Amino acid sequence: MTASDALRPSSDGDLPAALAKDWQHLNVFDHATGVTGIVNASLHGRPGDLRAFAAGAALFHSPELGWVGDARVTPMEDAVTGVHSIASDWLGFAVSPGTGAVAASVRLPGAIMLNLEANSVSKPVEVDVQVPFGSGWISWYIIPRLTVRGSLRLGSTSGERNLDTASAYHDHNWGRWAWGEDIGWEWAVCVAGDDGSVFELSRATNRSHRSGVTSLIVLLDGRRRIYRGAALTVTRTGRLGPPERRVPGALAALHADRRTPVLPRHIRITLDDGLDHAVIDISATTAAQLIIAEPTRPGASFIHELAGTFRCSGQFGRRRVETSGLAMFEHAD
Amino acid sequence: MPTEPGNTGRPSRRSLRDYIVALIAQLGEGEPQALDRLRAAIGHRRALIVLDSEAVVVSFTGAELVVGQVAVPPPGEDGPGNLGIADGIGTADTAVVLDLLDGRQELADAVAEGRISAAGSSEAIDMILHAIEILLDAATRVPALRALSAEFRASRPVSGSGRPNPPSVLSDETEEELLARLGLLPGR
Repeated sequence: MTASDALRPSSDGDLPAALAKDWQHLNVFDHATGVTGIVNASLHGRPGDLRAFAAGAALFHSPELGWVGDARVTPMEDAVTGVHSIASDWLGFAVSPGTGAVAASVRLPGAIMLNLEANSVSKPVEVDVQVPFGSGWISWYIIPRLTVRGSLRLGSTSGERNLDTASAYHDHNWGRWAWGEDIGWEWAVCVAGDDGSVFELSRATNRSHRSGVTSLIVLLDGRRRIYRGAALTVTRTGRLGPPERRVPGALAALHADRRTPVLPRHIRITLDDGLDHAVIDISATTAAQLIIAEPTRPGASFIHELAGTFRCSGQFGRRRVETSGLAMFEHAD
Repeated sequence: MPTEPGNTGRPSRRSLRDYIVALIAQLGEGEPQALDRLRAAIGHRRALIVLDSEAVVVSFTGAELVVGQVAVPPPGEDGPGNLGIADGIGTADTAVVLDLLDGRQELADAVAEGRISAAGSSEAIDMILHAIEILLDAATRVPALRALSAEFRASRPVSGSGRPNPPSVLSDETEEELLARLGLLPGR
């Protein structure tokens, strides 16, 4: 396990520092109950700029309650930030430099009460180069699979759930870009409940999703495989209903025109590189929309979280794979 | 922030008039050009804003904001009959404002259900909605406006709107313990 990841604050010599973004993300998959969720803590802008803010988002979906959670911003000067942590008055996110463990807590009484620690069971993937993204660039660091210890309470009437059999996925994104400019991405993580396999799809693109190169990371039997470009085809079919939850509420009211985005119900990832081949079918059942506004100028981006399930059928080397589990697909524009 | 006597942590509740005065003042400080757009949108018209048991008439005299407290129109009498004192009327309650801020209800649904109402000429209704849009947009870049929204949320008791109660702010003591346990607090 490399301990090289940390928040990437801007420096005095960093001319586009006002567009700095630093984004810690965790997906949680509770295979026993079908509950899936995201916890995200991020920094937007340059420290010292009064417009800069820290954002927190916690959204969980349960088959019984639907989506619960919220997204809120805090002036950056009011957030507690360390080299490896971001905390506000309701959400905390930290990565241990020694072990790579991820800790997250959420305090939204009546909605989400979460305490968890996730420990990596896979090697990280680091893209520490500045990949062109909009008017700027983006880099990232991924831990495809983590085990979880902790507890979760959703809503005001349900009991506390033990998360000790849940799985998690963690990534850290950073770079320079403006929300609302011509940027977008397509991303998915599929986590099997039985054999520990993980399939992670990503493509940085523009708002219309007509550019960019797709990559797929497969974690299978503890071994990581990466596929790119022509080896992959992604097709979308069907149409999912409108997001059942849009947060934060004030931005949802401002952007009422984005209430009914075109989102797929099914996403098929086809892999064939001449050696390995597989079909991964993601079925989305519900969506939530996260709206994030740019602090330096008018504009906002819309991140759609599609929760559902997946099935994978294929051949990786001599390994025949038939697996299934929970999935989260993200469409950002 | 002053707190109500005997109320642990809840900020004093500003009057509707004081909120509107503060919103416009912070808008002018944070984004003067947005305030110019707001003045242009309102022009010489007057808006009657009703929130719970408070009502104010808002207008601009030149560059100066004028906010006058008035009696809340009796139920059923917030239509054109009241346009003697305003060109447009917007009515809501704290519960729906909190539901909107917390993303528990869409604006269009709140209007369709009658939880938010607007009356007057189409130009006057456009004026009210456009003014709200300018404030919401500016709040993404003006921290003081977001702070007023947070103060509004914190100063209102959790109310029953038929939807799950909105969350209240708690201390971050447990999060600090978590960070401390991992040795991640600054200075440790």
